[in-house]
Amino acid sequence: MHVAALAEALAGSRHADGTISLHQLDSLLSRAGLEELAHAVAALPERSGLVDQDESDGPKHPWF
Amino acid sequence: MNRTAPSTPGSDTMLAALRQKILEVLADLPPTIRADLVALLGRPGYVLHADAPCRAGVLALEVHAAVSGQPPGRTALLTAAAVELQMEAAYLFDEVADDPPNGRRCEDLALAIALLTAGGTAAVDAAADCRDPSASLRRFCTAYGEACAGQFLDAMLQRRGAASLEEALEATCLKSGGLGGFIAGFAARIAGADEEGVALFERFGSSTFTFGQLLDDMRDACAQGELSDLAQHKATLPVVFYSQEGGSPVGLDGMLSQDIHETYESSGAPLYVAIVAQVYMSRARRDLSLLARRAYAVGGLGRFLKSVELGAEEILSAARVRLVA
Repeated sequence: MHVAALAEALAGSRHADGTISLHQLDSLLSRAGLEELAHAVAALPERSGLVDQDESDGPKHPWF
Repeated sequence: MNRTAPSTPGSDTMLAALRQKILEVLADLPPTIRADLVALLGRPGYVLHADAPCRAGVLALEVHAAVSGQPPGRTALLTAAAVELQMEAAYLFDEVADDPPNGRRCEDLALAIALLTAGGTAAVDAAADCRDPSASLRRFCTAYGEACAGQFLDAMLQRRGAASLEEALEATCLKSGGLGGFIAGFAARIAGADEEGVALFERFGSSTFTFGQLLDDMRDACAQGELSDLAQHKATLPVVFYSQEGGSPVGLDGMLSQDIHETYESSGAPLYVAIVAQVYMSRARRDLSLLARRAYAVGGLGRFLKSVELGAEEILSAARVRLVA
């Protein structure tokens, strides 16, 4: 996976106020041919009413 | 292939059966060590603790059910016990690595090796009736070796410092992805999947466990107190990203100031790792679809993946919300 290219694209999508434009990030990744990463940006979940199981399944049960 | 939907391997009844099978496997060990092992496995997070999710065992049971189309029986439980014990050994090793050896930790190292041998014993019993026991067991050993290589790389990068993003991701994929592939591949072989099916199950397990590890790393990066990955200078993806972005160093006392918390959040590290994690979730979903097209009964695996995803929802959405314009 192109993790260094993703870091560059993230830096390139940052506004002067420090926020990051997901739309710009998506465009930068698509233009670079990194479609899998671009799709991942689009697929990131928005905060929703889904139950947070992380608290009950929390730090006591790490994958490692 | 026409497979019937299996019962639910992740149910309380099935977890109780898995725990009972693990106790039976441990019964073959010398009494000197057996009681300590049972006590160890009863700690929070370990398989015999009532609240433990038993992810390795549940994944193995779901894969076995997806291939065989049968409710989990003795062989499936032995398979799940084998991989769960191997995972607990790796987990214990990781705990020891985070807490340099003292008298008690040296005892824990001996317990970790004992868990490995117990897992191997269960694997031999599980493979006894499968199509090609020696090939299954050989892969059991070599696939677990990938997770060991990941743990080595993880420890080496932490000691060396200045890990690259690629190295950090490689360690994650080898360590946790390797373990997920090992679990799913072994269960698929024991249940009789063909080589193409086994490869798909391995990939599914690898992507799912890599996703889970990346989420753990996001949660642990800036945890309270001196146990955070940042304070320990771990070579996880969020910590490496933060360091490369010029993040403030952690004080010598290992405590994270509010300033460091804020610098970490504004560095973009949570969003960065969330995107990488999302890639692995997408890969797992894609492989699940491919397995369904091959007529494997993947309903239980779909529920397993959904539970992993739901557990991550809050962390992923928070990473998206904090910085996004």
